[in-house]
Amino acid sequence: MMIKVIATILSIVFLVSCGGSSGNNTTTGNTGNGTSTSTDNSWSIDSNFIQDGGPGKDGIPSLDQPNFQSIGDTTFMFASDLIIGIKSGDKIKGYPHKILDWHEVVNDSLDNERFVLSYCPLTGSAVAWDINNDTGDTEFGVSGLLYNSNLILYDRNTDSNWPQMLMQSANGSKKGTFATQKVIFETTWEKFQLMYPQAQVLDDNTGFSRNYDDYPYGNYRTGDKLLFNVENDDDSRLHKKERVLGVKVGSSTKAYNISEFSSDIEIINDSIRNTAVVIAGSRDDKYAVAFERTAADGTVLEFSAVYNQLPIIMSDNEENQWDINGMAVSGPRAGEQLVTPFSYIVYWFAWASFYTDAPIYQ
Amino acid sequence: MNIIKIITFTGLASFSVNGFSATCSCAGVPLLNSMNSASVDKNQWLLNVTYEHHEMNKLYSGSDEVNDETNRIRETDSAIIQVNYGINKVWSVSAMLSYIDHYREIGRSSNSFSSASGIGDGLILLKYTPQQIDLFSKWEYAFGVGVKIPLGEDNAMQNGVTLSEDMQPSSGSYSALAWGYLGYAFDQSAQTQMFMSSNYSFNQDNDRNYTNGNEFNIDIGGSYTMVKNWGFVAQLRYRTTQADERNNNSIPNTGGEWVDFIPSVQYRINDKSGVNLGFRLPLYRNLDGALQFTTSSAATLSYSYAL
Repeated sequence: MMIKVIATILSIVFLVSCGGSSGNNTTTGNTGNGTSTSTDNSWSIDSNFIQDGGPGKDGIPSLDQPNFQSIGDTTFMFASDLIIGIKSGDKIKGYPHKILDWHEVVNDSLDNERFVLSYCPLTGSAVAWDINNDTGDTEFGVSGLLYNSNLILYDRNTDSNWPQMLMQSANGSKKGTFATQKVIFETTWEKFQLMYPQAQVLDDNTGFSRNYDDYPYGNYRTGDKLLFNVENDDDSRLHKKERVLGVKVGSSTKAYNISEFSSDIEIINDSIRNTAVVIAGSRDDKYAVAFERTAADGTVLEFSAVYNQLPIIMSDNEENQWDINGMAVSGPRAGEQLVTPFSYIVYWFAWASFYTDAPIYQ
Repeated sequence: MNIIKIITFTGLASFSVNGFSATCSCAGVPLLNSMNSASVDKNQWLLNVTYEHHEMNKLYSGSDEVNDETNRIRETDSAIIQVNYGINKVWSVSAMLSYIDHYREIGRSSNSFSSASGIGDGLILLKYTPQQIDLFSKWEYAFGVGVKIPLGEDNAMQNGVTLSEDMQPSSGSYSALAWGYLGYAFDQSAQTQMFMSSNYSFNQDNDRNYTNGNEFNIDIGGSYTMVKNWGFVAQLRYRTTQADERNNNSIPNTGGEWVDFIPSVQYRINDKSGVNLGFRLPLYRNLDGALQFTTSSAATLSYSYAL
């Protein structure tokens, strides 16, 4: 300690003797294995809107060995709490927002397929990522950085940084690489139980001392205030925290306001940049999903709502019935999966920050 | 030892009972808590150099400690040079300059650390001391007003990204400061004293529109000076800060209340100089928001020299 004291005092004396000029020195690197990080620090995104969120890299701990429990054993959820579902075959898992608010990233697998579920509480966006050749065989963590207030993940193999809402690495050796989005849906705990009573739910016994009944950001999710600077923050067409389904096809986007859907279910047969899409949503059940309407054989389908048969939400002009994951559960196309465009639910301000002048479905 | 020497030493001792109170939400260092409370005679110079090692590894939810499974290490080493000059019998001026070294490592990640160092904030305070402890008075009181000046850099970067505010050596912002001190000597030689000091910092925003929450501190303590060069001080500090703000919006999980116990021991080297070793031991905190890292401990070493 004395050496540090002397060094510090000498530093002051030196700096003062140099005319009081200020200086600072920052360092970064690996301490665990002695190797240095990539020397290419450049970003492919506007660095003016990249900010250090404060907790530091992995200061918000990802869940790397998540535990699950049955719906019957899940006692910490309330009917209106939001939950994210992901399904593969007959297996389905649920990830409550109230746990993801504290961890943001879950490294998990389903049906032997590895994926990363990411949720950004500041932008309200949930995206699932395939672990494949593009990402590399890796886990993801929370970098502690934000872009337009949105979570930036990092992969633990290459230390590359991946803004969640872009699903593309913006920094590091993976820069420019796109990840593959997996189909998920979000809804209320009440409807999730109804849809999939056999589901496994992320256990609140995570191994971390957190009070999951406590929301860590005060009145953020309902207020009109932001915690970090974003581009285009004066777009007031919607309340900043309005939940919208953002859909991107090529370079074209469209936002669908979830609170404008019918209370039970509403189907919108739409098109974005000449791509036929169907949007299904419910104001009361707080979900919205998007699929392309063109089937594998090239047929463009027309959809309509199916009521009171959750998780089935729509049928088409060929008498097929489709569930909330875009899977045909009955009819001539049973077992067929609709293609999902790049889409996710997100707070309006964040979508407008990433996609300036983004059109809103009227 | 004559009485004058005792009083000189008592003065040297009393100003060294200090410690920083930076938390994870606070860039730079609240310099006023390091303020030398000693009065300075006309044309007298008093130099003080303080070093502090501050660890902020406790995780709290309100007033409850929470286990931190991320194995976080957050430390700040600080050095402060303070110069006091007596303009006349009642007016004096103090100037302070800090040098800050922040370090953060998340052990769970095992491949990440951040650090930033450099000149931090400076401070200049004009003090008015209408009554000093002397052969004719057992009371001393003083007041001061000043300004904190962001002399250092506040744009330390890592990987092309500006580090968070709490990792910057300087706050990057000005503050208006008010300070007060009240002392009482139980005996004419001033061997045993009680004191109370308080300060308030009204903080402005920096060029990133970030504002550290306004801060109030009050210290109450006592000191005992032995004839043979040793002195002891024990004090309680209550500190409260408002939430930090960005763009005038409150930042969750910043601000709160702290009560610390600060014992210190002092040794007079000669008539002109002395050293002080102190510790800051948290007794109570009630922190705003759901979760906050805060002080686990701090140790302070200072050297004082009267010209």
